Amino acid sequence: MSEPAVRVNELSFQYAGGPPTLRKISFELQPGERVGLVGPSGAGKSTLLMHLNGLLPRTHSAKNGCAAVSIHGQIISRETLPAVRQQVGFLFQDPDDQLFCPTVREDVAFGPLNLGLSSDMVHDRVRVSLEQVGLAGFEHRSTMRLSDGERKRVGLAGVLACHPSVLVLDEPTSNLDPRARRSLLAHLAAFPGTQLIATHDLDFVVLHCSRVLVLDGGEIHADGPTGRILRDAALMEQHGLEVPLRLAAQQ
Amino acid sequence: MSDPESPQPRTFAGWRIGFCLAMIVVALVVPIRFWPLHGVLLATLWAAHALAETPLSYLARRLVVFLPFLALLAISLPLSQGFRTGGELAAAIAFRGLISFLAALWLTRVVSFDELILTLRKIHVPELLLSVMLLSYRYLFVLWEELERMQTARAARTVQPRPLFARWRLAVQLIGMLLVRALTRAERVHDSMCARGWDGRHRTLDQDRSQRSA
Repeated sequence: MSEPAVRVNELSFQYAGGPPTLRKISFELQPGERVGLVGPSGAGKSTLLMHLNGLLPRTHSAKNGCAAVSIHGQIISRETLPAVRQQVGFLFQDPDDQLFCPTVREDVAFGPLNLGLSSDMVHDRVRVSLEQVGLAGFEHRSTMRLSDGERKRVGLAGVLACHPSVLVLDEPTSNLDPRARRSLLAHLAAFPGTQLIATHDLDFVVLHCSRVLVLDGGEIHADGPTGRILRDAALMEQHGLEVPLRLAAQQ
Repeated sequence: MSDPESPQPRTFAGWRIGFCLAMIVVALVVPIRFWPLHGVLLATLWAAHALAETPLSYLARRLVVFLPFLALLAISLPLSQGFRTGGELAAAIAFRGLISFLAALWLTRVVSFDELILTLRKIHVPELLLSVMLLSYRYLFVLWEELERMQTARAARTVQPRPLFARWRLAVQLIGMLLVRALTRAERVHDSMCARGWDGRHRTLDQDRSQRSA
């Protein structure tokens, strides 16, 4: 079997002064796999995702255990952070956190410029990424004058422009109308890399992911094929979830 | 601000910024005893606003907020010095403050924020300062929307008019909450910048092009 795209090994974490947020989490994602991360609010989903991009650096200190997270075999550490962040694209839940440049072009170019690419290459990546998310011609639009769906797609373009091999998405469908949600689903389906998606939108998981992790109270309670996990009404009930309408209708 | 989506600065943006700065600098360096010159500056700015078709109501609304602060400053500084310099210092503060305010207000009417940034970049204003201006401008509106949401939520749970003191106390609480939320927002924005490889250096497409051509 090839090297996993993501390996999380006994990852534990707690915010200063708070209770443990993650308790000995372990799982692996294979290249190209699409995995849904579901669980009630406050389960630790966003915290777990942030670890995959090295945004919570205390995880790799001796205090919290070492070598907890690796991407394509590369352990996340201060030295490997630039390379890891090139591999892992992180889409934040709130596009206002992600889009901080005045124009769409500048925002999408932000990541590639930080990779040290020449301006010609950056221009190419901006153009291609915007085409990928269906926003060609939006280069000079202000990031403040976009709809929620457009802002989400610009955020995704900014992530795709860095050519990541792993996509980490935090609530990608929140605040999206059905058309924008469908459009986002199509763009994500076209991405060939590994995807880990934290969401409450279980129908989205049914449509897009082949595997599901159920996170609750900082622990993984179930890990398996989407259909089997999400059809388990008792398991869903136990962790504050419910069988998605799409599956419930089939039963 | 006009035409904020224009990617290129208009031809006269630089002249307009220069005119605004010149008015402020002249007001600051000319002693107040040459008060007729300050009068000329004020009249010039008035004419500039008329040419920019600034509505009187637009000016009045902003002056109503600004003038009490300026008056307080103009009185308190001479008072703190025992009023030895008399009304001269107060007049200097009042004239210079008013001229600077009207000049800046005029600039926001005739130059869009994007034009302003592009022009400042052209004249080699430090990139760090421009980044701070850009981020402030970007998140001013986000925080404003956040404040409006909090105000709406508060109004939805206010069943009867409150006394003035209680309203002030609520307003202070609201501002406090906004500051906390602004801090949280700043942390998340920093995280999102780091997630895309930011290492503390601000890079721009135009900067990269100019470095390569040099």
